[in-house]
Amino acid sequence: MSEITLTSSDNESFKVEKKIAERSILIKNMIGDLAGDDDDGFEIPIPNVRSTVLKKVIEWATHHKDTSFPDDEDEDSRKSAPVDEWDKEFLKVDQEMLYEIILAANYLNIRPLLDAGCKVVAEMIRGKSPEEIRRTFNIVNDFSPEEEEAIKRENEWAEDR
Amino acid sequence: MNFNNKRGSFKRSREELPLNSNQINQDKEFSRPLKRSSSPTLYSSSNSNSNSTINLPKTPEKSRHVIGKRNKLLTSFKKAFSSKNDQSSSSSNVCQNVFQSPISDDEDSKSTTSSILSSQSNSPCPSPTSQFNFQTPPSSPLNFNKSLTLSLDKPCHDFSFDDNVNNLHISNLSLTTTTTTNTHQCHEIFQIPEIVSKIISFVDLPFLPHEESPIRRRPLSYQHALLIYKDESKAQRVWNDAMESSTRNQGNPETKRSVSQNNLYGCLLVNKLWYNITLEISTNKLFFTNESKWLNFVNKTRKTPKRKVSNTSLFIMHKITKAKQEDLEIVAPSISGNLEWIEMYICPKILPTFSMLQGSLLKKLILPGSKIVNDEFITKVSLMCPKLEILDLRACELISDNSIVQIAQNCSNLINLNLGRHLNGHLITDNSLINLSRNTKIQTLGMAGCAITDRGVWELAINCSDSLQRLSINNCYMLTNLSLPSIFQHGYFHNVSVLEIRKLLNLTNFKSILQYQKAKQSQGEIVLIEGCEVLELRMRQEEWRYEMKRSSMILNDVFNWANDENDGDVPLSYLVMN
Repeated sequence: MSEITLTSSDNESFKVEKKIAERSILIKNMIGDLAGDDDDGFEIPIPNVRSTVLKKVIEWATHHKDTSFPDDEDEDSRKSAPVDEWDKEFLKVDQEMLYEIILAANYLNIRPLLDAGCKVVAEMIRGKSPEEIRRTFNIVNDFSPEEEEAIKRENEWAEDR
Repeated sequence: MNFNNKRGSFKRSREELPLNSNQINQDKEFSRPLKRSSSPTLYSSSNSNSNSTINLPKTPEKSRHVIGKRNKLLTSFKKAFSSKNDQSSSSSNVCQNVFQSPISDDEDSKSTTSSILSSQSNSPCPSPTSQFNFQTPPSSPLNFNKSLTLSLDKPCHDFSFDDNVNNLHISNLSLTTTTTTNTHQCHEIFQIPEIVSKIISFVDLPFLPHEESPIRRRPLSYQHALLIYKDESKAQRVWNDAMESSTRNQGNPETKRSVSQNNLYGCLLVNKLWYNITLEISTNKLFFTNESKWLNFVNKTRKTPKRKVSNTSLFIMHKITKAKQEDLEIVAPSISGNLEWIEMYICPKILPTFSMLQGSLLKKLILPGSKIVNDEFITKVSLMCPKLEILDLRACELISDNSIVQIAQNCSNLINLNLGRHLNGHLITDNSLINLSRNTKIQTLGMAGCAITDRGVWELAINCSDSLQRLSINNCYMLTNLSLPSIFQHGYFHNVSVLEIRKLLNLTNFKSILQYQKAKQSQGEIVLIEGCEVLELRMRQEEWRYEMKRSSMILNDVFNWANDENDGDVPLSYLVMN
């Protein structure tokens, strides 16, 4: 069984089973394109993921190494599917870590993990007012009061969405 | 390729995004993203982890293995990073920072200036171009190239590299101020359009207005309920419910409404980026259940310029009885092109425009209660929408065999068709039924009140027994014992789970139908048979006869067993005599 070495931004290396590493489509494509037949010991730098985050991502991939995820195409069923129980527990981390995991999943192209992370954040948004959303995520309101008024007026049709 | 221009167009496209109604002062607008851009990455990273501050490329010895395969790498990453030559300029960091290449590039930014540049370009919206380009948010980092090229195609404007350099100083200044004032910064992910888009799309719980299809239809009378449920208290309860709901809704089934969600609406007003993304997501599925909201949308559409590509896949108008065709004409251009589902439920005066049918994607067309839909329109639909699967024309009483034959011949994917009606039943005959039977694999068929005969139903049985699951032939007064009883006796319709046969007064033989129901029941499947009072009574009688026959057979068996003269025990006659 071949192993791949992943190196985080802060130069920590992780030896990972190829199958696990290939949960990341980015890494999978790289191995496919570059490693050739002898891919054992192939080394891949992951230059914008910190070791603590990379460790979490590897933990996730290890747990899900045999999971088969639903088809990419079926947007709607992916949307309505609840977050896997294990993932839910796994993502019970502080907000900063959650966001970093999402960022890493996006960069590494690990769709199921990205989905799960975004669903957890979406859950935090539901039922909140715009002001509450801004406060929760420290988002700056860049609307002028007039603009905000105009948007409200124009979008009454979406009120119950 | 001029990356300075690219950079410029990045800025430009971001600037142009917000409210098209309000043209905002350029200077003012320009300074804003800068101020925001300065802090998040530099500040947060320097704070949390000194190593990752700038995301400097890896040192060569660390990734020697990779460097060894460098040529290969470069070729394969050319897709993602438009040009190797340009990487020496700071602007390459736009790419590098967004989706950092695992390539370690020696000549690339090693000096501090370029690293500051790199973090500068790691702006709040690392891939601003995609903001409006995405139809489906790119999930793969490699998709970046696509939006990149798109942006390059656009004319470039007044922003040049010099601007960026100047702005850098400003941003460095503002950095110091923000560090002291803002202790919490918005995390990067809330500024990356693809991720925000994904999050917001998950916020939107898929809800659509619909009528809840009753498990069983309401009974027509207490007697009817009693016949169905065979239990006085349950019959009384069901009948009371039926009475109550019919006074409440004038006999129409209730429309399920969502508990006010307000989820997407909240996202709409967060900030400009969120506004644009939320708008995109909420126009994907449009549904209106209320006239004032519909008119508000018409107004908004009238004011907004037509979108180049519509992302609307679903358009539902639910019981907006006063909706006007002229309003729909205003909305139609901006929702056409990708519609898969059009529903105008009890909106009698409007019809989809032909532009809405374009794109050949339509799978579902729901027009019950339309007073204006006619054969000409449906024939056109059959030609324009070859993928049609579901067609609901309940109470569309102008529709005749003419267009249904066209639908049957042109839409072979059709699995669900409802033509049920109270008026003009003579317009739909065996001609429709036979064509449907021979050309489609229909699963749900509503023919209530149509002038079909035993011959048509037999044709259906022979051709579509494998697929057919639900059949409604209420009020098809021409049907007799020659179809259903005989069809079930011969083992056709073996997948039917719902059978509606109200008011089929010529139907008197229920033996095979009930046998089928009981056989399915013994396999754990429920078959629902809906009859009117008369038919329920006939079915109960048949059941009673069946039960009687069964009990007498059992009794007979017991009697014979008890009286067997040769089983060795004392015969009954002997006991009686002594």
